Amino acid sequence: MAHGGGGVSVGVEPHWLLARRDEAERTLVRTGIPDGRDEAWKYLDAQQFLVSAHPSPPDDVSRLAAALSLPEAWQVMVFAGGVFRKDLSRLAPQLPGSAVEAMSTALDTDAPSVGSHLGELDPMDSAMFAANRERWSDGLFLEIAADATLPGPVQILDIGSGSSFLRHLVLAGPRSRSEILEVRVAPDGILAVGRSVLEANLQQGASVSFRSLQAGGDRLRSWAGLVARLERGSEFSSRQFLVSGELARTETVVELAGPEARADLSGLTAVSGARVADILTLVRHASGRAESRQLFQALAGGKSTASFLGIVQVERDAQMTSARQSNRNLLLSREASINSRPQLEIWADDVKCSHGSTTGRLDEKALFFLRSRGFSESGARALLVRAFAGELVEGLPEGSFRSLVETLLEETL
Amino acid sequence: MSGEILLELKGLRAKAGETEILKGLDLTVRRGEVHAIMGPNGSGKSTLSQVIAGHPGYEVTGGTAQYKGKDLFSLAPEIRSRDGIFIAYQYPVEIPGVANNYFLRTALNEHRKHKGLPELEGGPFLKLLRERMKAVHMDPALSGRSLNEGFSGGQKKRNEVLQMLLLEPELAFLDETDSGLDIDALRDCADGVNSLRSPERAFVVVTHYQRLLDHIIPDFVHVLHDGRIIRTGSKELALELEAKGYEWLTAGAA
Repeated sequence: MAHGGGGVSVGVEPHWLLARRDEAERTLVRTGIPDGRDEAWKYLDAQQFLVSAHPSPPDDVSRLAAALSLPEAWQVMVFAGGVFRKDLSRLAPQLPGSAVEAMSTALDTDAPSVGSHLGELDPMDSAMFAANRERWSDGLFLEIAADATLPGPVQILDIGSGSSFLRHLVLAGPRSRSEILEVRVAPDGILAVGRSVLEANLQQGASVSFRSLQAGGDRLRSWAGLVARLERGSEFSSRQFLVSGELARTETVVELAGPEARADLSGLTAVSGARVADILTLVRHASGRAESRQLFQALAGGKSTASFLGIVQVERDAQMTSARQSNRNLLLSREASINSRPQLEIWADDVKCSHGSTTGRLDEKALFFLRSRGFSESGARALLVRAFAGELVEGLPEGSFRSLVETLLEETL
Repeated sequence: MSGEILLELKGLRAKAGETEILKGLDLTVRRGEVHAIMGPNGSGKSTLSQVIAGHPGYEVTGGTAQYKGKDLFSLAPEIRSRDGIFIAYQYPVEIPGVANNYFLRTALNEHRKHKGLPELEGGPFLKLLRERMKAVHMDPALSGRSLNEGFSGGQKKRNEVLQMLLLEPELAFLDETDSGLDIDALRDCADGVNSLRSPERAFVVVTHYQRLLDHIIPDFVHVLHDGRIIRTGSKELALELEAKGYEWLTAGAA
């Protein structure tokens, strides 16, 4: 293993990559680490994602790898503490014209592809993206040939151990179809800090479906960047479940770069205790006649905090844009807090844009009605909470990913 | 009638917020009986049903309530339900995202568990559900929909009666079940109630109008006024009220 020590083996890297790491470092120095004055970091301290941590016990890592390799995945790529673990992964024979491999491998075998796309979609002034660009150690490289369809989902299993940076690169060829499942997890009781970026480049008519779940680790702090660029007629959908961990933050940045492109972003946050989950989306309509849909829901109990900042930008030439954003929240306790900030920045005049944000508590009338039909109070609560979260869970295909989401939701609520 | 006493209310007082609504209500209901409680708007009819159900919005300030010999007010709403009390609500709630059939099955199984019976699984439950839905002429498609969401007034009331048919209560309160119903729905709801009538069960039909009592023949008719029962009579009293209104009774009582 080239990166056996868990750090970055600078010595074996090509010059272009080293130059890019240097550029990222300069960006980071220029931007500095964001603090509470930054609107996007009002409810969560970025420094908490930049602490160091001790590696997790190897037995825990193996156990989690075995437990969370999803049967429906066609290939499972396991990363622990930022290092690709071929020994724990489940790999299939390569497809002609396509590549499913670790970034550390791709640097040898697919260097031109990696080199021309790596980091190109990162938002320019983001310290967190820059930190990842500077320090990433490995990740998934997925290149799908034109007109190819992956035989099944590729799973990224990101096991937290110490502090790590992963970078995944997805190059979806014209009219290709692919599905990615991501599970982020860490052993309970041990601080682990993960900062990953998934970069997806969708060419004309490509379709990429991304589903992600933070699946456990009560001390896991996870920052996840998701950045995608959509060419004409391509479709990108992502559904992210933040239902465990100590701190979770996702930043999803999508550019609709061609007409008839469609982005469908959704997520469900369920937090309790003193946990904090933060969702940020930035959807940029650079081309007209494209469509974006966003549905983010949050449930917050205990003394937890769930936040949503959703920005939709429609550029001057992006006429006939259709953009919808919806944020629905449910407060389950008096001490929990929800922050919802939808922002529309529209520069074109012929557009259909809508956003809605609601925050409420469980319906007392419904709760009483259920009890008066024999439901226990906790059973009635659980049913109403499930009903609220149902829409995003119901939409998932049957399989172990969905079962995992359901189990975790039950445990959290 | 000489059935065992199911429910005995003595001097019941209750308030909603700061307003006292029930002001010393007495009522004894025995197994096998059907009671009608009639009264003008604001007399306390709906409050009575809510207090029997255990709604937290109503505070009992005086009097006693014995159900099957137990202090009713010491029982949580779900225990009252599992122990045989059913309220058919005047305004059934809509619960988006909760499938009607899932709700019905869970409620039924909570009751079965309470009675020490095994839970009813999918197949046998669906068979029972189909049978009962037929009995109240309810569109089978409504079983898979969200509970009461987008249901018409008649569908909601039929759904209440359906719940009653599944849960087979010992004491059922029908809170203005007839309000807003056309004649077909009214008859279906009444048929549902009549099919459950037995020497073991009792019904309290709370209504503003006499017409429901053409279909559900009561043994007793009570007039509720200003939080008290001011007259009790036979089913003929309902006809008299229909003909003369309430004033001839309430004028003296107020």
